Amino acid sequence: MTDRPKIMFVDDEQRVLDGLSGSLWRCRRIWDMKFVCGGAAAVETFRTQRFDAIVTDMRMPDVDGEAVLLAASAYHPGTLRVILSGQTDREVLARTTSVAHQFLSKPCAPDELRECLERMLVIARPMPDPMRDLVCSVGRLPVSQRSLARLDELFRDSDVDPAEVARCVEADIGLTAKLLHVAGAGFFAHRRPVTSVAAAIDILGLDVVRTFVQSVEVEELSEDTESLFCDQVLLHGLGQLAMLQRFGAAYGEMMRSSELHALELARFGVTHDQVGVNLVELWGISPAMEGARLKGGVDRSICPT
Amino acid sequence: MHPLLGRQLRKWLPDGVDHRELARFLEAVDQAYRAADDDRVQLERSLSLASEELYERNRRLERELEERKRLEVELQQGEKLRAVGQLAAGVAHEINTPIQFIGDSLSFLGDAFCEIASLFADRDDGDFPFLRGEIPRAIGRCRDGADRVATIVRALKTLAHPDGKEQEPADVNGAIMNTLIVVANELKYVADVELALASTRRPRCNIGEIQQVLLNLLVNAAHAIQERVRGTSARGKISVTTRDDGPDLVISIGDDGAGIPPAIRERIFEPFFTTKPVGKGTGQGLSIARSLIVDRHGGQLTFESTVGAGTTFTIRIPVAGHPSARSRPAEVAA
Repeated sequence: MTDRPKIMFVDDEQRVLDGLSGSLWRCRRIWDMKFVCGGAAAVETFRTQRFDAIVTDMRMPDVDGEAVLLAASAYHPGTLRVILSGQTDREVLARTTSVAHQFLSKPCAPDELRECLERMLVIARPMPDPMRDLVCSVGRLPVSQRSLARLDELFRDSDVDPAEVARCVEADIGLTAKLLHVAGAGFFAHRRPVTSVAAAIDILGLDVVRTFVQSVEVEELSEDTESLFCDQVLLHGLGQLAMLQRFGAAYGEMMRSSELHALELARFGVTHDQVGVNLVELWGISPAMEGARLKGGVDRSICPT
Repeated sequence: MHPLLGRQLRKWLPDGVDHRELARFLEAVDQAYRAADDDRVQLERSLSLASEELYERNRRLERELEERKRLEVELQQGEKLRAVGQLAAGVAHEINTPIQFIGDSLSFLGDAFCEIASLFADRDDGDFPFLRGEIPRAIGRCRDGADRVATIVRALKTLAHPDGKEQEPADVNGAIMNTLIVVANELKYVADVELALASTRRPRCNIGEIQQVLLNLLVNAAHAIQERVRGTSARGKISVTTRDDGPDLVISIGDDGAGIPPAIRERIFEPFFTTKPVGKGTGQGLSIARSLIVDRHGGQLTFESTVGAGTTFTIRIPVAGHPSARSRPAEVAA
């Protein structure tokens, strides 16, 4: 029984929590669920307990959803983080894209919430701790300075062409992955799979994409990553970017070796291909997109999970 | 000089007057008259010129005043819509939370009842069979209701989206569906809606403005049908279609309502022109709709009407966006 996934639900309204506990009553035997009223109480709770997943409201009077998720990832980086908000505006999105793994909007059908959690748990539970910590704590991936400058320039034109923006985003795997992640979220009232960057931009709208791009900060990395940014394969590039962001110069050194996989395994216990695959799955990036490749092909046989 | 005047003069002057003198005198008088005539003509001409100019200026001022008034109203209307949009977004947020726990609790009641019913599966006496059938149905009804509220709130939220001056490729068919949800109350006792949304193209447009136009045309269609069927139990039909036509996406909204009398057809797009009773229409709807389609999107808004048989409005928007969009300033009064 101790093996059941532990899930925390946070809301500032007790009725919402009672409702959730009722609608997820069917899951009471497979999940160990805790319902916590208010952000401050939630933060207090995971000081001492570890949860597999946390689902939180956004707007709360004391400690809001963003702060709850930040605290959760600080205490236990491997916690799966989901926003369940009645407020689905741009501001919320811009603030939470780097800290939440999934975004759901109220009202959310019980099945949708259950399936979302099940899907994430299936991906994250079997991961060894270092992998789970690494994959779950990837917020925003580094973005190439060149892409940002180009996008900035594009957005200066009030009449920017979405196709142009899509081409520019596609040249940058960090932006591509994040945009697909956000657009695929249940946050947006659509039920189409997101299979291209153009489709993602279409769903989000140019305004949201602009807000999103403007909130991206250029991150100083120890390595010249231009080659990674236009990496032929989404999975490789994503994994390497994430590891470079996490391990810095030590990893940069390694990247020059031809024995990269072996070195990665010995030093970190994970390979960049595994990280890439897990990240793509956790972020719910459509398999169609994943397979569709950016410029080159994705060969899953080289990506052992 | 007038011959009569000459004769009179000759009659009254003494005989001894030198005729040549007289002729000179008369000539002088003549000249004086002619000069006075010229002056008068000149004066009259300049007077008429001045008054024409004044009249023209007046007309120009009037036109400018009218234009200004129209812009002001459009601006006010735009602001009102934005305010309503913000309000709707706020209300939507407030409603979403209770809908969440209503839905969740109903879902629990459904599950819980199944459990309880299985405990009493063998009881067929008294009210048990009835309750076993009716309770899940009642819960289902409640869930349908909650779903419907959620759908309406979602539609309202997208309709009244308060921001976004941008024009970008958008889903017009989706916008039509959303608008129909929002105006359901205006339509449902009056007309059935037939949809034939054949276009799958996504024209570059401001979808909020397109929805505003759709809303207007649909409400007008409902009113036109109401006018025709009033006092009877008949229902009308509204058909909404989308199709591709060359570079344009064409939306048509047809009704089988009262039709527009020929006498007023030329005036329906004029600002403040309305045939509706005071309080029911401001006379702004079609004028603003036309301005949004023509000025903002470079499209066309036209109609065909037969009295007693109905009216069809046709919206054309260029899929590629406003033809002169690139040369236009970003800020345009909506």
